[in-house]
Amino acid sequence: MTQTDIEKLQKLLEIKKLEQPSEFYFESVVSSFHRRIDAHQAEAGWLNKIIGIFDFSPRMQAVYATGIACIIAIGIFTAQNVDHRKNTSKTPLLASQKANFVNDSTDQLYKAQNADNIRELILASNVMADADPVKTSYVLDVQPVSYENGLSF
Amino acid sequence: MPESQESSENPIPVSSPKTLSEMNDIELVALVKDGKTNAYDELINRYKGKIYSTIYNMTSNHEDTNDLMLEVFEKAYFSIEKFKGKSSFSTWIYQITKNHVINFCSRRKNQSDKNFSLNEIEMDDENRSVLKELVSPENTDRDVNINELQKNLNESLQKLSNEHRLTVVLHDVEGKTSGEIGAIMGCSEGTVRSRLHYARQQLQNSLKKYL
Repeated sequence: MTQTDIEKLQKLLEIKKLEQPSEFYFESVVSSFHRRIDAHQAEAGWLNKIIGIFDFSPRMQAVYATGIACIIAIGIFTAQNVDHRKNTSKTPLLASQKANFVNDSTDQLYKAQNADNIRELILASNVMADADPVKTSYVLDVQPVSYENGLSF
Repeated sequence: MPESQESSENPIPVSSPKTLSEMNDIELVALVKDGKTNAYDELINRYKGKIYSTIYNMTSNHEDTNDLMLEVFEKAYFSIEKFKGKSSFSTWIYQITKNHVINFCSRRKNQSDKNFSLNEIEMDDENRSVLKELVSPENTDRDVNINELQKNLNESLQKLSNEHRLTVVLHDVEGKTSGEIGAIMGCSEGTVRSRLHYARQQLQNSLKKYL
């Protein structure tokens, strides 16, 4: 490509410089830009505003951190209590406790009738079954034997 | 009395604060970083014509150019803190423009959706004389249809790859040097010259009948 060819091509490309938008187009660029920025900031929403508050206020950061720590501590404490109650309920009845129930069968019957859950009902029924050998006894907290997987010998 | 005489003979120069239009780009960027958005308006006013021209010559579509230009200014505004002054503001905003427009053109190429929306060439007396000069003296058809020429020119530019098109636009239309283009495109001057040579050859083949 000779220098003359390059110059001819460059002259032709000058047409591109003459392709201009309408006269007043550039006057509205700044206002269009500000509209976009305003729309962008409005879209940011409430979550960003809250995050913004924490970004600029160390006091709010401390309050937020303390609040989260309290929620976690309460959660752990509550979870431990639930586990403790579960473990206590699984403890088998002592013989002396059973004897007390047997001695007062009316009381057992009353308990069985007013049991809040199936566990209490079974326990009360079992105590009464100890006193009466004809009655059916139920087993608690024992996994049933699987006849499909367990007998593989 | 002597004091007053002295003061009238050698007045202490009063440093009046610079207006935004008197400030250079770096000073304006510092003001924007301090939260003065009107300083950014001044930067927009300085660069809107150049950025528009670059994007328009890359896309050949006025509507796309309008959106892309506003996106470029928005992107630059939100990342102004990242501008450390290692290069000029001009190079920095051109780099953002280059990345944005090349991404757009790549997506458009995949979608095979190239719609031209060309700006009209205003045929005032000044432009008419320029256009007469543009047509080669050897070309017998002097009354060449300018609209057809404009369309063919844009089609020929669109046939080039994004990098080749941007190089030729920045050099031959915007008048930037190879060094400036290298800084904008993140390549060496040699690569710029090589791309320019290849792009011109391609354009020469496409626009043979006008040369």
